Amino acid sequence: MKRFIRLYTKLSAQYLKTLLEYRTDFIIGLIAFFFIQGFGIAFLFMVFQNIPNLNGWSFYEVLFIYGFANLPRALDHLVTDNLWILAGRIIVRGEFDKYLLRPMNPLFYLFADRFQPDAFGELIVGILLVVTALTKLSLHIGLIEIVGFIIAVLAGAVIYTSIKLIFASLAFWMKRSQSILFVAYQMANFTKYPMTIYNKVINIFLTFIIPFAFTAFIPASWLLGRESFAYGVLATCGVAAVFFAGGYALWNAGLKSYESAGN
Amino acid sequence: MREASLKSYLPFAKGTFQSLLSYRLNFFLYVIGELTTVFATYYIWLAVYKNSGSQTLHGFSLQDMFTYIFMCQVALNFVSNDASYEVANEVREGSIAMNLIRPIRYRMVILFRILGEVIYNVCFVGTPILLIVCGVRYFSHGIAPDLLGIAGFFLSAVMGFLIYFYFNFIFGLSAFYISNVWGMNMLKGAIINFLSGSMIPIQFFPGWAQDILAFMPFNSLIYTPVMIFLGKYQGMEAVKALLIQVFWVLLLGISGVLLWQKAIKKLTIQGG
Repeated sequence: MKRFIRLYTKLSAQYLKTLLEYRTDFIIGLIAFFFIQGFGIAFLFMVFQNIPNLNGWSFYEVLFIYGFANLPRALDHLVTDNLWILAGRIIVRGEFDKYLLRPMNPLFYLFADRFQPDAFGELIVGILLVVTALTKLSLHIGLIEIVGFIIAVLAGAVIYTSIKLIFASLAFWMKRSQSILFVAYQMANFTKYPMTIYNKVINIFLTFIIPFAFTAFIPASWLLGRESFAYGVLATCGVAAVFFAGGYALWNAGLKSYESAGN
Repeated sequence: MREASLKSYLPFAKGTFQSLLSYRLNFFLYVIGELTTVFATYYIWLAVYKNSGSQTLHGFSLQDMFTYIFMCQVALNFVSNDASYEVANEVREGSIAMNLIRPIRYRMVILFRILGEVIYNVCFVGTPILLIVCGVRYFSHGIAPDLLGIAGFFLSAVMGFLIYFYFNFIFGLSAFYISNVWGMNMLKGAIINFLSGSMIPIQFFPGWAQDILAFMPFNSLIYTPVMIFLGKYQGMEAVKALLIQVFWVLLLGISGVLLWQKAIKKLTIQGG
């Protein structure tokens, strides 16, 4: 474990150096991200001018779910951004060889090789929204809620990673799978709103097939007092474990059938 | 220098069109991915109208709203292009020099390249969505397609395309002064997406915001064509909206040319 942490910091530091060259881009990107999120919230606000509540969910409850959705997404984005590149060009260009040649777990090396500071935008916005909504909602927040919240966010991040891992691993056979990964990833868009507004098919799909519901709506509902602890937190952990095991198995199968592109 | 004829720019449009054609599958998967947001919005409006207890909100019925959000996607096909990115990239890489020494106008080269992309999008994404919208309106609500509205929509959307093109061209020229445009591009996308009314109709904005937006070109990009399609702008009102679009095309077009002439003097290409 210690070795992994040491390696991770070393590799991240290397990557950070390359990013420092593009500081202005990073800052402008961050501002752009705040604008995008701000407009999303303005949209919700304008919608709520016309209704007392959305299928029984108040404005601040919706804001809470919306904010919560940012947190697991941010953590995953921060660490596993290289999966996008894997699905996009690493395998086609034969650049994957490098990950097999070092005495490290290849998946760990892939994650450690790049880290994405853009994710800080999501993290900051998520925390701001969650805190704002919580102060307005006057919910009971005890030790169980705090611990459960942290666990649910971490498990949600693992679910994000697992889904990305599954679709990125397809690239071992397809050479490129970025567009399929994109479609799957975009499904998360549905889960930042109260999911009772959708029909059954969408709900079942996002709970059991591509389980993004567990990255936002379900655990957030538990904190809002609408779901049980068992479903909101324990089931989230269970789904995270099952999907990560599945994703990792697929990744390993992919490693076996990987053929380098060299000459 | 002899003026090149329009015909000499056509290959640029054909080039982009054909290169897009070869990435069909990926292209459609990206379109589906982008549409998830629209479908989520669809369900939000469904719930909003159910909860509001009234048939219309700010003059929009639920049916109008569905048409609105999907037609915005069609209109977006006319204005989703990367002119600023192309210009910025060529400035940064220095490849702009090759285009400057040729006996053609750089602005037109970019325009035609973008045109290839826009025609592709309109043919393979915009038109199918338009047909589906018209079909759903006709078969489940008995609303016959309004041919004048459709024609007005296309005319207005083409104006939107020109406004956005010049806006983007000016924006891309900032690469002569700032070296990284990627972040600015994201910011621009976010602002346009919201202020053009493609997330929520302008009527839903607070009064003061509507007053400010009336003096900006964003309305003309998406909102105007879609309102014409919906028949919410009719007769003189539609003509007035179109004239405002013409005004923006001229203003931004002329500014673009002037700024280009100024920027080109500043251009330094590194290396040979």
